Amino acid sequence: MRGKTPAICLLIVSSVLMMSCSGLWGPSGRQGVSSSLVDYLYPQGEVPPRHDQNVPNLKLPLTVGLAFVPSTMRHVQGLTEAHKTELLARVRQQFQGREYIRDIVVVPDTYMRSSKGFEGVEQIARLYGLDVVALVSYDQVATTAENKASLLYWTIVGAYFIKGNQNEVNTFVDTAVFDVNSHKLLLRAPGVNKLERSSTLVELEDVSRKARAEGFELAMADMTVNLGAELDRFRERIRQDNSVTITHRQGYSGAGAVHPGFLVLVCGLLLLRRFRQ
Amino acid sequence: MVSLRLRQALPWLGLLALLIAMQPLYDLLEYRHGSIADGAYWRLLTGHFIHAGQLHFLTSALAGALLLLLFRTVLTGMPLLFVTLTQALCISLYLYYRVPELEWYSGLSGLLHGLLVTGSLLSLAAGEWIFVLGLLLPWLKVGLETYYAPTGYISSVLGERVITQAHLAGVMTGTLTGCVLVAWQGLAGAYRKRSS
Repeated sequence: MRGKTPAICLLIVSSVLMMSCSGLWGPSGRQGVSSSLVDYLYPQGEVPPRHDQNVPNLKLPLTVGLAFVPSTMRHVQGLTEAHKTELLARVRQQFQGREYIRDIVVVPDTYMRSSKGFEGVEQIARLYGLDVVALVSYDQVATTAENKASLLYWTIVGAYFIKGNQNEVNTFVDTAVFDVNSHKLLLRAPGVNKLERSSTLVELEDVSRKARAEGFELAMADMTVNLGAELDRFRERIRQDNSVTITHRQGYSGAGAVHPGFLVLVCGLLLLRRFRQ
Repeated sequence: MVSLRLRQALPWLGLLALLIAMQPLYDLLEYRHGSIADGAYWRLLTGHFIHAGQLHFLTSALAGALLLLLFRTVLTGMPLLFVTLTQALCISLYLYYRVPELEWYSGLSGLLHGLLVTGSLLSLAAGEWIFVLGLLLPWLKVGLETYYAPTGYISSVLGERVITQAHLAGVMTGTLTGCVLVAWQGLAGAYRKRSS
């Protein structure tokens, strides 16, 4: 019995060391990043004004500014500046091809960080000649938990080959489109995504980062689809209610083109007449 | 027979050549609100015959040729000239006063819409009932355009904004001039009957 004591002690010590090893590797628990639209537009906690009497007047075609609402954190994992630009370029495509939009400008994060509130938005709008701004805010929570297989991390080899970590990433993005002059919210479109990825202990950091980036991508894709539908509804709303008035910008111009349907109608009438004769 | 056909086609070929020759003069002839306000009133008429590009011109010319072929028995000669000039002027005046923010406009489509409606009215008066389609469908089209393009223009496959208000003005003036012509023909017919 006396001979077994050092062996038991060694086993206990090594187990404790191995546990501490797995504790040292990779993040665990909940981590979140977010950017708040309300905090950005009303940094001093101001109360948003009532817009009952304030009817925005949109001068068509519009120049739209597109930007992420800056986060309070300087570096957001999974959402680098390059990634933001790439994601905004995809949203930009949703605005393109609409006859009432003249240009879409992606505003870099550094410009958005320089000042807050509608004063800051107005400064950027003046700088870029914007009529409306589309601000994209986000909220992402990443949870990492160990499953039963993580017991094999104790073998050290298991940390390399056994997928004992379950990563869950919940992402919510929201685009709010504001009229710069009246500060009125014209439309908003949300996008959500829930992503689950399992990983080994050594891959945990990498998989978690990639899952976050993918979460943003998928949530933005969802939001982009919703934004398209919202833009269509917005065009309908312009026609149906008086929540927005419209004027055309000086320099508005165009041509009178013959629709293919017009040619089909004329050809159809020609054929019908010939058939009757 | 061939020479007769050629003789009939010559005025139209001449008109086509004139239209082609006009295209490079867009700076002088295009509908431009500012220039018209400064006294270049000819642009009210000539603006319709200027086009934004070759494809734009070709589609307009094709549609125009088909319309002339369709209404060759009811709308030709002086009535055709009267309808063309009246409608071109009315559409331009509509755009000038109702859409003053429209800086420039080019293309024949407003006028073509008007000609289709006028020709259909004249054909209906001549007893060709199929032309009820030529009267109703353009109205339905501009109704849908106005409904779906509350901003007054729609995107175009030709790369230019399509000013749907010009189509609306065309159909309205086409209906009016068509009614005037039908009434005129009715009165003239009645007068001829009485005098004979």
